[in-house]
Amino acid sequence: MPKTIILNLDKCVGCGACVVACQDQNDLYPEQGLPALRRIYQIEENRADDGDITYASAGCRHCEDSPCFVGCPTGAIYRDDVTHAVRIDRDRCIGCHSCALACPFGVPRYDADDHLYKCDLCSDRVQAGLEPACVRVCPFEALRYEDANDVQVDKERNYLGTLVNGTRGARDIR
Amino acid sequence: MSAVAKKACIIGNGGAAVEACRGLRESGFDGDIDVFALGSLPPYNPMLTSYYAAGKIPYAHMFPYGASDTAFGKYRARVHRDSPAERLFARERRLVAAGEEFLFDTCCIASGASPIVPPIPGATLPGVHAMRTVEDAVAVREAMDRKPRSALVVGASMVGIKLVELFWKAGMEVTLADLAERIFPLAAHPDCSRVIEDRLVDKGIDLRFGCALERVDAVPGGGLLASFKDSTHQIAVDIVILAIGVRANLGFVNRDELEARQGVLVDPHMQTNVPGVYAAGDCAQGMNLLTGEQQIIGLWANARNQGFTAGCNMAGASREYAGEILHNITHFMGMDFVGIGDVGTGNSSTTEQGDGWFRKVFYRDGQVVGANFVDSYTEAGVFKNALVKQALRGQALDKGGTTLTPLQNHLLQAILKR
Amino acid sequence: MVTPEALLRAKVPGHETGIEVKKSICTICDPLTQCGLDAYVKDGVVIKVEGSAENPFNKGHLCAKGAATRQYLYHEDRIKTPLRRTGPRGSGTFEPISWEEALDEIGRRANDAKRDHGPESVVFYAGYTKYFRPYLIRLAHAFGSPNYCSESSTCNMATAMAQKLVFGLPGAPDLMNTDCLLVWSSNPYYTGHGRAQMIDKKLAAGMKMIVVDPRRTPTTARAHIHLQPRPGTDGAVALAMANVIIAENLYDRDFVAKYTKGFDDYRDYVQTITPEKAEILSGVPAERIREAARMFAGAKQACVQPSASPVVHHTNGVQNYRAIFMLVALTGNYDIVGGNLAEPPSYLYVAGKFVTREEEFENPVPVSSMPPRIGADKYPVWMQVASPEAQAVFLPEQLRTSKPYPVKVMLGFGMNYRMWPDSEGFRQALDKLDFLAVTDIFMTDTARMADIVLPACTSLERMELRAYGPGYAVLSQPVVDPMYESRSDVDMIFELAKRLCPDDALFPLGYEACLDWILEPSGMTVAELKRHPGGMAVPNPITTKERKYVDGAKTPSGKIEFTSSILEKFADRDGIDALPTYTPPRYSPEGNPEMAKEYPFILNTGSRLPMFIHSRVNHLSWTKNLRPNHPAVDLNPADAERLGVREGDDMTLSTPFGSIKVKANPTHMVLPGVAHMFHGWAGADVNSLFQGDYTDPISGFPGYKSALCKLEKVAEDR
Repeated sequence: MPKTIILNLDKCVGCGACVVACQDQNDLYPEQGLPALRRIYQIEENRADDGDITYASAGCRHCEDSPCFVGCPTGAIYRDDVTHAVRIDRDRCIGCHSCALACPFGVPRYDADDHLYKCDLCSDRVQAGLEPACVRVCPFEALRYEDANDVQVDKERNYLGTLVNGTRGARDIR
Repeated sequence: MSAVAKKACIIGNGGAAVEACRGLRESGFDGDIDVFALGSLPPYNPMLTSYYAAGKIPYAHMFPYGASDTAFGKYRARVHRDSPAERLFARERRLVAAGEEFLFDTCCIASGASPIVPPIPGATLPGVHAMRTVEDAVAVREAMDRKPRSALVVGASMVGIKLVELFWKAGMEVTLADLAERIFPLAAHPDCSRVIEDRLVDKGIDLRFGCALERVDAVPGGGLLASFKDSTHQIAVDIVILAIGVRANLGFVNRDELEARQGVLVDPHMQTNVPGVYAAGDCAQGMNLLTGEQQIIGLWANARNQGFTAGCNMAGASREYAGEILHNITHFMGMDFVGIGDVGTGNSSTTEQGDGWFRKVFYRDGQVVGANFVDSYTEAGVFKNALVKQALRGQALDKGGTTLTPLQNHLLQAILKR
Repeated sequence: MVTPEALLRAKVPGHETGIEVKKSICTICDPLTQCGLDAYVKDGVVIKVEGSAENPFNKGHLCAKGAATRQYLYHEDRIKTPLRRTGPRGSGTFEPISWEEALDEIGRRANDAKRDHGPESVVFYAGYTKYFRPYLIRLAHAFGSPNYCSESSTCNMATAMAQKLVFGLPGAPDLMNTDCLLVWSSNPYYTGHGRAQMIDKKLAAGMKMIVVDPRRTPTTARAHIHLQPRPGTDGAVALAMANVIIAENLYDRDFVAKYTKGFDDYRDYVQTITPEKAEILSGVPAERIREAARMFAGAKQACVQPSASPVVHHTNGVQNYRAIFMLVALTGNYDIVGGNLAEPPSYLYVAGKFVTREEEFENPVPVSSMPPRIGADKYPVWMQVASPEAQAVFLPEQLRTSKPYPVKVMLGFGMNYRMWPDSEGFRQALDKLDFLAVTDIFMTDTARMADIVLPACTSLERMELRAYGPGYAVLSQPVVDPMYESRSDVDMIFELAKRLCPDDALFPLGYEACLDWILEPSGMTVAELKRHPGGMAVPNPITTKERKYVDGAKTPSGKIEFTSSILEKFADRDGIDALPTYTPPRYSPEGNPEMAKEYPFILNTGSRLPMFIHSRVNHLSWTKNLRPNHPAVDLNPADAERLGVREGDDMTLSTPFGSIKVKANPTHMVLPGVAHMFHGWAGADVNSLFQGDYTDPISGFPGYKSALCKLEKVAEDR
């Protein structure tokens, strides 16, 4: 099972260090129309009776059965052979925003050239033996880069979700 | 299927056809796959043709699976070029194409759709184009090389508006006409149409709604003259685009044995009423999850999902694709239009607009059924997926509840609350 | 295989890419302990930062502010050259001048003022940051002025005063060895992630945690007991806890009998503050107070985790904090392992298990031999208890009246007038100065008031010494050359020393020699520290000595004081009492019911957000985008609904002294009836809504965290 970025919900405090580290790593300046690839959520609607507020750092889920991949009309969205990240071939992207309507998590954003830009799991960093920038910075080690195969992952999945399109039992379309 | 299929036949060579091949192979099908192609081109996405015509992508990029036959070759499928189906004998498992006869164990109809050309005088004149095929795209692009000054686009549809954008960006005078009273009559609520129309008028587009094209005449010395019914008004233009809709390619189907309306009716396995015969893509009427009725939903992802599902089941696997809802995002002339679900028949709605954005959410009996967004795409996918979930599980969205993860609910409530 | 181009794009260090990792520290926030910073440098430019893995505090991690270092370092608003004002004060019209001109003019103006009005007419002020303070303090004192002052006039000093009044020597919570941590209005999950990680670790190992905080925070979410008082009522809660501890006989009788003063009076007083009474005063259920008291007193070792300023930013702040620290005394947890250990600081307020001559360095001439400091009449307790600095809260008053003596010249290092109550009044008072010099990294509204502005550099462009708790020291080295013509503040101070105190014994030796002089007892040298750019373990760390009070506490009575000998002397003044008596905040529903009718919300300002620290990174897009609706007031969703506002709606926040326009941010973090507003926003400066004399009479601290206000929705135009 390839590694991916996993959030431990019990540890996240919504501090936003991951967002800034991502911006620093990828030279993303909001004032240039490039918002971050991760976002921080302070979720209060689903508060338990004890009033706890849930904080979550979320970016592209790199869904196993990616609706953005299936919905991309040009084949610009692809899966990295090594890191298994859902990546974007900028030359192929036509800026049609189909992925915005396909993504169940509101992830896609577009740059000044109207190309999709998104988290690529820091694939090149990872292949050089480093951690994704957001994981490396996380002050509470709430973000981890690891095999998506333990108990915490289930909790995260239930909270943030992995893939929720209309298909049932679908596997990768590649 | 009781016996293991040995020979699979795919009618058509678009995205649904490729995915059917993949479904077959990934489900362990080891027999022959024969693909009967309409022409000689690799699978292309009709939606990309307007991008090519606009010069936004190179020719090769109209073919998402690659510009050669690798798409089918990857799945060891034999492609019969220029072999459109002529007659399908579904119960006999026999296909006639390009004058030859093929026997199969299982078949998938993925023959796609073609633009409707209205039966009016001048519809086939030079300078009058449809926009669906690679050939259409090449023709329009060539026409653009001749630096036309004006264009008439007939059909206030997603394709139509992309052509309007193309011509507008080229600095041409553009008229958009439709028999309907407003833009995007199927995907947009009248309020939303008005927002978009206002913007188009601001950008200098000439809008003519509620008028039917009657004829197109060639003007001696060059140019075209378009005339409308019940109107003395005529428009002189260099290019006319007919984008009034598409029709499924089902001329080869015997409707007495294969149940079909606008498209071939399929069940969640993508199987037709004839066992072993499947259909997928723009010629198949799958489930609209919101209405519970079978409907052609001509979207690339839908075609691929249907094709893959058909392929799996053709190979003997059991796989369901429950269906889709109507949804569309069109990005044109610096704006984003989103239509999701049912935007017409609800009995209440909420509208919000701010600096440069518009959102309208539709409810029927208190339950969310659809939405229109203009320049507010960020949570559109959340909304669309939530609506699919609601339809699948029968739970109301605005109550939160278990159909959504808390994060999705958080994002959704931001729309519903505003 | 990743291509070299991809490696460069991914900023992977190594010889293929030419990217080098250099060690620095982050001082964007400057609490006590600084995060180690790995600067990825390519061709002399920082292209990325990460936390230093070997640093004992941050262990490789950074917060959102530190992660934004690159925007901070390379921001376009950085001051590029020394500047001389050419237009009216505040206009921002300057001309670039040379360093020599700038320093000469500052020297001349300060020396002229000294000649004409005495050295006390020159104020030396330290705002941000902290590393240069020992040198600025020495500069002031060698010059002869008692008026070194700092942001501590509204920050940590009152907390230190409360501790000193009770214990003599302040005690810090021995987190790693405690069984029960009582966190009083601190949220390290936003402000000190290294500390928060330690808390996580201890909680996993079974430590109990009680958190007192008017907000729901990530810290309170982890607490076994969360007491959520209305702002400014902490004293009532602490006294009621003492009531329970004494009534249920849970206190340390032996300790109280042998080492404390005034217990009987204290006991008699706290008997009047029952949990039921505290519930009325604070809103905290009596039963929760009892549970907290029992948990705290029942632990083998327990300690109080204080915070710098939240508890003391009240008109009753020091008294409240005394009541809190007395819980440590009452349970015998003072100066023991696992309790509040009184370890002397090594350098810059941090106890790093080594000894230096910092205090000696700072005081070449005793302040007691100089004229009285600013604020001496108004805040006499400060003069007795605080470190030898002036109470700058009184500065505007003295500027306006020239009483008791005129102030003519001010050298403001990293100064920001927006941190003061009646900030606009403070700004106007600065205009009374004959001469104001300001150093800063960025062109601020305060710098615009200056006659001379000096461009300071960031921590990445300079060398500074820092101590770390576990016996670790860092002498950071510049990772890039100072940007533009900027210089380190220390460099400026040493240059000014040539002009202001040329005969000083140490300044002429230079920065490194002075550091060596300060470090002499530690066994470390500059040369050795430079060999460890990421820091080093302290050689021969000093061992912890418990119960130093046995030989006499550092209070006037030699005992831990339930009744303060010092406060006793000033007990005739309003709000000062030897006992830790509770009075409601001056502007609160109890303290001023008349005002509360029109201003029904309790206003609490400055509660930390994770992406901002004062105004230091308010101008960075990377931090700003984490809270898109800013400046925003946090209010309870029930209040928001009542007022008809939703997230992002425009509101006015008003006190009887002014109003500002803000956005609404409804959140359950906030108690109903309370409005939390972050400070430091130009254009929505909440400190401008406070009167300059809305202060604690003991410390002079402004009552920033409990006043009265009203919130109104701004009618929409469309």
